Amino acid sequence: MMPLIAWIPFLEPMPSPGSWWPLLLIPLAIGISMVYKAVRIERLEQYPREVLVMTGQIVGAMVFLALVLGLVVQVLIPLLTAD
Amino acid sequence: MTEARNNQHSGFSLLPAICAWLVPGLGHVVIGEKVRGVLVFCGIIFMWICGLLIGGLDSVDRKEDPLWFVAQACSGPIAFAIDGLNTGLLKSGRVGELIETPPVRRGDSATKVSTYKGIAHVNEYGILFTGLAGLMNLVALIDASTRQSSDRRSEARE
Repeated sequence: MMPLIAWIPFLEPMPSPGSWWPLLLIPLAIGISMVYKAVRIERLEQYPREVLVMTGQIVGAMVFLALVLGLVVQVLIPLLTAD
Repeated sequence: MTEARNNQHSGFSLLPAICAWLVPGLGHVVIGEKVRGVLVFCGIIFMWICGLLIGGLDSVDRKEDPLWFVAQACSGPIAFAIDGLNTGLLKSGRVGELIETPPVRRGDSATKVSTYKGIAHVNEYGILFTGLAGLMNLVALIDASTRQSSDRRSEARE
């Protein structure tokens, strides 16, 4: 359990999220998508949908890259011989 | 076709660029794209709020993270204000305590850091959020200064 009671928001860093820190990627992807789609799309009626789609694309691409890198590091590299 | 077309962009205008740097989204408001400007403002402020919530005031540090500060400064005066607060409140010891840290190299003197200094993932994410907010504002700034407003587009069509 994180010590939230002692945390002063905006002044000091948030308590360490531990092993959940990769989830911070989601608000980051939302922020990038909000600004990029505000600039990029022509018809703003589709803005919320476009933001959701782009957020999903960023998070999905990152998960895919993490899986590929995990496969390389955990499976392929141990198969290499020391010779 | 939902993406903006290239033929809607013209030469570089200085006024929207200056306005977009001063207040994120204001550049679009100046050229008549009010809703777009509000959306840009909300996006940039969202990233700044998230960055400061995660990393605290120490996310913006002109002296310790100079290259990141270049990116953060693209958001405008907000980056300089947060850096000033970091220096004035945390680094001066006015808020929190200053504690001695061992010297990095032999011969160096011990330095004092704030107990509110960010470390590890939260500090990295705080810097990343605010740095990307600055870079995204740079994208919006360039768009505002080169985009033809909707009024001018309709005039060009006629």
